[in-house]
Amino acid sequence: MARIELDSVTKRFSDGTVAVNSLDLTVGDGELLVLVGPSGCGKTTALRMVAGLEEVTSGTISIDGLPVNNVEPRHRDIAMVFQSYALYPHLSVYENMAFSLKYRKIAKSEIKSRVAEAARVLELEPYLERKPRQLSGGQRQRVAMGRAIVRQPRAFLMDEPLSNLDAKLRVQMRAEIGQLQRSLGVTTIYVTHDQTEAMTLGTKVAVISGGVLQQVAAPQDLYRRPANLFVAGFIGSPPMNLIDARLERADAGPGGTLGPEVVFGPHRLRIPASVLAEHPGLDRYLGKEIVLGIRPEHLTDASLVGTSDGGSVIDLPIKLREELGSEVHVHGAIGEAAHVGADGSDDVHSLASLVARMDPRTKIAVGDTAPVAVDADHLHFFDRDTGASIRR
Amino acid sequence: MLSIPAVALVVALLGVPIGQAVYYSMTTWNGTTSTWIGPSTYSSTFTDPIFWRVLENNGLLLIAVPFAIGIPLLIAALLNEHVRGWRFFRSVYFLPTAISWVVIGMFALRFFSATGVLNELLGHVGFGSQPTDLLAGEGSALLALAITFIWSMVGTNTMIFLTGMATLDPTLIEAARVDGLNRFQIFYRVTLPLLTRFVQFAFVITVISAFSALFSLIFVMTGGGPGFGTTTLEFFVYQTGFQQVQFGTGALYGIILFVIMAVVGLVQLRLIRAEDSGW
Amino acid sequence: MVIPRRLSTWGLFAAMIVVAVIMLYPFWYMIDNAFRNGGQFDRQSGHSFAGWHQLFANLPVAGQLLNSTLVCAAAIVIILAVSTTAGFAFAKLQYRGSGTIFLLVVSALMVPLQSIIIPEYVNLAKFNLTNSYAGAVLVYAALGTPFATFLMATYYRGISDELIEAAVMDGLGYERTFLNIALPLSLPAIATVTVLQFIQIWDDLLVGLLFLPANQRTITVGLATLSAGRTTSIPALMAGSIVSAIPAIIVYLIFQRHLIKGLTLGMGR
Repeated sequence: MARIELDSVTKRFSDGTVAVNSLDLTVGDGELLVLVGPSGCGKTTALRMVAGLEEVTSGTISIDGLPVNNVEPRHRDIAMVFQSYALYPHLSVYENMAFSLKYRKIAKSEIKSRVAEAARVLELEPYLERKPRQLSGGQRQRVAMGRAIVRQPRAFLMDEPLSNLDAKLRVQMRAEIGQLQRSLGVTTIYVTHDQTEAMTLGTKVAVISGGVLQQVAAPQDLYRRPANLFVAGFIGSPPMNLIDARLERADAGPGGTLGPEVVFGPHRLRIPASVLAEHPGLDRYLGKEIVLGIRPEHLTDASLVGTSDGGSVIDLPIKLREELGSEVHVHGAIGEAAHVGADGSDDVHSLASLVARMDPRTKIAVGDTAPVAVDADHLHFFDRDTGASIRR
Repeated sequence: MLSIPAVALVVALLGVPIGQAVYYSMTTWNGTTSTWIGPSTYSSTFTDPIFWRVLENNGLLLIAVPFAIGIPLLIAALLNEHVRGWRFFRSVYFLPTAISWVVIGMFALRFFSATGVLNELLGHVGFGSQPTDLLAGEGSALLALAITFIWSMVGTNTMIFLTGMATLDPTLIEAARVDGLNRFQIFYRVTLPLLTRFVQFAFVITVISAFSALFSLIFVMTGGGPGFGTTTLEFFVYQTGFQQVQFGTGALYGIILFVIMAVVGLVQLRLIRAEDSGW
Repeated sequence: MVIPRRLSTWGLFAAMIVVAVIMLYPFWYMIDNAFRNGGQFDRQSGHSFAGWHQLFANLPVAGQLLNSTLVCAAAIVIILAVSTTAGFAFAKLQYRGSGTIFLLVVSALMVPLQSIIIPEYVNLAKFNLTNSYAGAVLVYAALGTPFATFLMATYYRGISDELIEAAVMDGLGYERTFLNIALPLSLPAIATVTVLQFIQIWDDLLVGLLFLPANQRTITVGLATLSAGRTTSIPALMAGSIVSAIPAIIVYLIFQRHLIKGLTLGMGR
């Protein structure tokens, strides 16, 4: 059991690329930290530095308080599960799992019992004598895990262990890995590019992009309070709708209240007082351009919900309706307004649209101009230039 | 069809002569007169002590083969670490393959002679009291030959192993590093088993060279001597056939050589088959 | 025990240098001693061109270099012509028995030169081919064909069948397809074969020794006979070695990549 700390860890390669930029992370004893981000964001490099397979350019990696920068991988007492499983093709399943133990001077009987136990947990018992090439992808993945388990290490490092499996198997193995980690209670760092895996597995999730840590928090916090545009657009599927908008003061109309509205294209949304209270920083942005974020599940069919509150209903021309069985994804155009890409880049689409997750009973059809209700309690606001979320 | 020229060429110049050689081998042809004797030429050869002496030389040289494989393995492991400039070193190590065995033999001659470099070096280290011409003694000449042979094979075999190592999945090595094996253990337990096929290939090439390419070296370095000290089978063919103009006998030795080569080739094939199924 | 990474790197570097010295020393020795005369060689000091004078006096160097080049060129042309056509045929045109015949051709690789040299000589003598380039060229060509064919066939197999089929659909006959499509695509393999065969033929002794008359010898054979005479001065021999080795070395240096690729192709069956 170990506590792993990364303190301003940076990795610069000889050609100048900075793969990891001043990363600060802490993984508590028994925690499962997920490093998630798009391909090439540096998460695997960071993992390999913890393993000792890559040298640290600057910063410190500590395990249980002791810096391990100069400690060779084999002395760190860490087990790693590789994306390609790295099974020795000339050894049987049993020998693959027993391999590392043989060279650590562990008694033969002990090796036998550990391997047997791991085989039992992973349901590999019938395959112990087979060679890797005689196994299916899922079985090989389990052997890779078995090899790590028998080591009884201080920590597990997993590099996208499920990427090579088909979708269904992935879901199943995901659950198994989660259970396994909880029952063993071993500190684990898990790398993936799949945000669903991140959300379901991690006690803590660290989102990384371009070698820089975007945010580290519990999954729910990541979802509800993304720290910036990247996290907002990365976590959640379908991704959050991000729209260029303006924050304006509203006129005091007849019966209307004085309060800011967010405007994009022809649409105006009133911001509820509760939201204003949670986001005092919005004051500074009155009259300015911001980025508005609305999650698809917060856009509903106004007629089904029965809202008539004009301030939070927008009329959208419907371009596409996708039937998913349990829900319907409806795409509505928002005209010439620029649609901001998940990485903060400006993506100007003339057919920019909002994606809404709707109840399958909705009767909205392509070609309609439908009233879509916006759950204004769950609006997100981001600074147009920095991408940071506007909170206080 | 397109393949005819190639087939014709090979058959005419490589295939037919084999058959002819078998025929010749059973005669006492000396270029002018030829008497058919029959298969007993073979049996009389097998009782000829000189023949066995020659074969013994080939056998002794085979002892050099493990060295000709082991040393390149280590060198390839060195290069595989990819220390800066390794590509340059690779070119350098492979360079000797471009030069003729004749040239190598020339140098080896000077190296091993009484006034040669080897004795000079030994002198520096303290063994200078007895300068010896390694090439003057039968056994030592063979040793000199073997050393030269190993030196020449280093380039080719290193390249074979290096290529093999490059095809290995690096995550296997990394997994072993994380799992606790030190460098030597990794080399011995992971890299080597994975290189089996390449080691086999190098083995075959080395053995074939030991039985055929050595000719030029012997020609230049020792001419077969002293006595029959460095006469190997392939040189013996030349000696008997062209120096002594005993075509029949020479052909006979040639056939025996061929059979040995064929056996080696078949054994190799068997090994590959066996491995493929149980791999 | 933790060896600091820096130290082990230097250790490796040192080891590699030691090996490099062992590999390169002979070259240095030869170059150094080629520029000496007899006395200087014995004393191992001083330099002069005496060795070179002797070499040129005892050996028609220029002529032999020319011979080597001619023989190499002729043999390589034949080998290429034969192996590309056959390789293509074996790889793409399946006809009855092609597999067996291919195996036969490639297994000829295993035939040691010495086994067939005697009948070969006799045969060629009958056709009066042992006193000119022709005999040697033919033998070299026959020797090089199996491996070359194997290499070309492997390479051609790598070309997608559809490419060939498309050409056939477009109306080109098989010969045309080969000339206009397959051949141009196989230039890398052709380069590899050329380099490999060049080095082998240039450096060969036995065939040249037996099949070339004295006035048409290759430089390698010339050098060997010079040496076997044991009356020539050593610096001269060293100089001869250099002359003989340089062309092959140059070819090697320029075409390294192809050599390596050729070796790999042969292995990755």
